[in-house]
Amino acid sequence: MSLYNFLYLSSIIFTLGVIGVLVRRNVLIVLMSIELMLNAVNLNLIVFSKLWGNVVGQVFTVFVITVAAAETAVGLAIVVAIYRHKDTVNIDEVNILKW
Amino acid sequence: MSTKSLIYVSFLPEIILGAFALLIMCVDPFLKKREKVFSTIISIFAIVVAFISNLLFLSRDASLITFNGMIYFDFYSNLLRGLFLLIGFLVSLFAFKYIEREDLFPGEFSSLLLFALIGMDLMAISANLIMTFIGLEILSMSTYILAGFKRKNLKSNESALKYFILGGVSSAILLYGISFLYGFTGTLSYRGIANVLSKGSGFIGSPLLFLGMGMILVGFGFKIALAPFHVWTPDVYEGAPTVVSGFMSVGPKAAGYAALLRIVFQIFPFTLPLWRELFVYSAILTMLIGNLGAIIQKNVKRLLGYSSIAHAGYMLLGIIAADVMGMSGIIFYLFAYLFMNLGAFGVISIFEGKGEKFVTIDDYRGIGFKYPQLTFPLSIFLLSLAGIPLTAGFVGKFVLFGAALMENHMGLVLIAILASLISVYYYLKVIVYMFMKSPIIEGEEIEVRYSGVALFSVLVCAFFVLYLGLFPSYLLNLSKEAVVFLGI
Repeated sequence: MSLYNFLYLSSIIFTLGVIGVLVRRNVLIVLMSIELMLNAVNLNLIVFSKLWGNVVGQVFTVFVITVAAAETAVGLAIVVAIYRHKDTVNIDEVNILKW
Repeated sequence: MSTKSLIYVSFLPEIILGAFALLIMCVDPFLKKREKVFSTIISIFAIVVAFISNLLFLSRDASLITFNGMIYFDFYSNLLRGLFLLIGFLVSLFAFKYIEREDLFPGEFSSLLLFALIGMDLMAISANLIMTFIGLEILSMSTYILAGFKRKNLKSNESALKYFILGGVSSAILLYGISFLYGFTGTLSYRGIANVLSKGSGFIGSPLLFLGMGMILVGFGFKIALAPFHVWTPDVYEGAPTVVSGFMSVGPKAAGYAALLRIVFQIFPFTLPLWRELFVYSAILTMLIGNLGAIIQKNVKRLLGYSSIAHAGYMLLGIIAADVMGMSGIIFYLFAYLFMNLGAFGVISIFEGKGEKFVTIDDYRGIGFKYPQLTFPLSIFLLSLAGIPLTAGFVGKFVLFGAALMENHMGLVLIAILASLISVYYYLKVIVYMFMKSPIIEGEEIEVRYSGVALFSVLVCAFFVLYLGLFPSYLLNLSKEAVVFLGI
């Protein structure tokens, strides 16, 4: 199996992530979709790292994982703060700021 | 200087900021409520020390790559670091009274501000896409939290959520672009990628490279609020605490431009024609949407949000011109924009009163001659934002538009001038409401309470807006000296 198949796989995962962000209304699922996008990037980086035979991509992957974890922590904190006000995690109901 | 000490010297301001940010986090829990001001003072002290260390170790004639090829140590880094530290300094002065009035947490605020400054610095000085990404994320994550800093205010929460989701998506897209670039060249250092790309022009049509470039543009376009990616800006600025909105309107924008300039001119100088077209359309859209959107706004914070979109568009003209004049115009404009916009947000943060009650233009009726010490500086800031002569905004626009004109972008410059004519309307509207309309009789009126510190920083901003408008040559020369290191 060629390594290029992994690139197709990662692009499919990334697209699914984008669709998830656009379509799903639950904040938690949106967060998971963002995670999906970041993991598609990780897969991409590792494949390219293997292709080029250097470790730069793998090092970057470690950074991306770290950042993704931190980002999720911040995101969940914001979601909790909203949930305390509105008792909902539905994005459509968070709409007092517009135009 | 030995190489070992050079590594630390080139990175000293960030080390200082980081150390003090951690110190604040350690000290703050042990302070009593009355003593909390202490942590704000520490953060101001840290920023001053970092600024001095930045001044002490300038690198005016050589561009060095230190920290194992991770950061550039050149005058461009020095100058932009100075810009960021100035932003941090003014924001913490404005925050002094604001945090106390709104009953927020000074310790967390100041340490997050310092972390954001570190992130901005890293974006401007990085020589490697890994470092750029880390800097971007440090900055973004601090600003997500700062935007939602009023934990008990639904508006603030909402703005944080919006900023967070869109920011998360945009940084994922940016990363995907970086991964393609890595796949194309096999390296992530700016110089390495530029070397690979300079070897042949056959690359330019390659879809992988095009995807990578485009996605990187999306990521930075989000940070600096360029047109198709600007949607979050007004909402986030309206909801976030006013001081933070002020910071977000100048900080991440300046950092985004600093990093974008490095990326465009140090990685992709050979593919500039490809970028230029994208930039031209984006600039036109950005200027029109920003200015037309601002016309109908009633909320002053939201109005400045739209106007900040427009200003991002003006600055893009410098990149499109792509010569020394355009580049130095961007850096000059970043300085001018820092003083005028931060000053305007500072005055708004004083006028709005506890709980941000008075933020619509109608609230500003008839306060002009009641509080001249604040309304006159605000008028100066607004006139400068509109680009009236004798102010810094005018000189900045003049340089940027002139640079674009010299590279034969006639139509673009015409649109830019029309756009800034539109902007005169809504900036003057605020001034007219302040000085020429009588206040509505019933209802509450603005009651101004401010600290001497806030007034001092408003006056400093006003002074520099006028100073840069009258004597721009010193800063322009510095910017020219700095952009030479981008290798244009």
